[in-house]
Amino acid sequence: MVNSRKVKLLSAGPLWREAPLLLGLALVLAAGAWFARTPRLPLIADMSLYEMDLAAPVLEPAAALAAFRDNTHIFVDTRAVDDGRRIPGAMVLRPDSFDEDFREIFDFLVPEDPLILYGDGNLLLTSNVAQQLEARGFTELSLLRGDLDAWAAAGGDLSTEGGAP
Amino acid sequence: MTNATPVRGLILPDWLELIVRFLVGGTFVYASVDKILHPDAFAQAIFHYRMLPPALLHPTALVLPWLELVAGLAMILGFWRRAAAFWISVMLVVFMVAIASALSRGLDISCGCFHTEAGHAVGLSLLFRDVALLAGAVVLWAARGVRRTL
Repeated sequence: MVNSRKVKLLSAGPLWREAPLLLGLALVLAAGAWFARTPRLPLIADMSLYEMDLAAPVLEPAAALAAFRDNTHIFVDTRAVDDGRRIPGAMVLRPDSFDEDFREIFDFLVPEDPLILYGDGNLLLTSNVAQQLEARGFTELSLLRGDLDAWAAAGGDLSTEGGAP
Repeated sequence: MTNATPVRGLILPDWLELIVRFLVGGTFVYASVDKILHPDAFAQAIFHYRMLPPALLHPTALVLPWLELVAGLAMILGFWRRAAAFWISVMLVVFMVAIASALSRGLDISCGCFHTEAGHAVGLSLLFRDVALLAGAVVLWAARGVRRTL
């Protein structure tokens, strides 16, 4: 009985019945993938970010926080001025001393590592660092929207020690 | 009658039907994978066409690749085949409109068809490819009578 129903469902039927079913299946799978994926793509796009033509997608602090808690990403501090605060475990890559900083952390990263870059809130500056990482083969890059205050406001931890390594 | 599918009065040989199903369905399955893995980069590719409002950009980037995958698999495996052919035809028409629109506006952008990172630049060859795929999808959509799954 079940088999005959299954066969009937999958077999040829009128287009008006099959087409919504197929679209519904795609919608369910898309929703499931969106829900399971961290960080999630916001449902409403912020077009100003696209206009800036950034080198990497932008993450909301809440989404970055989820990635931090799941320990799926490595955080990179790109701020030119170090105020002593840092996202715990973050590595340092300053725009004005990129090559020197990169040499220091080179042994701890592989191009496949998913990285979240954060700065002082200026996404274009953070994007410049992302661009340089991209040129070195890194592909899984994201930019944290806002500065460390926004991160802290979202509930993120901050350390006052030096970065890693 | 067992080894051929009537198509609006014409006979479509089984082997030809199978080839068209694999070509059209396989193309869509292949095209969906990178977009599913990188929805953010696909959203960027869609944005470059400058045709969608903000409210539709990300939902389209999230749903379209899954529709490509499901329709492509259905086409290959032979279930809900007419619906698969219908959605593939709809998507191809949308793609052709987007490509033609980009060409008419002189946009020099990556098409975002198969790879979100370094894709094929938008050009007339893409339109011809989509027309060929659309012809295959329409033939399968119009096919009636004998139905087989793999």
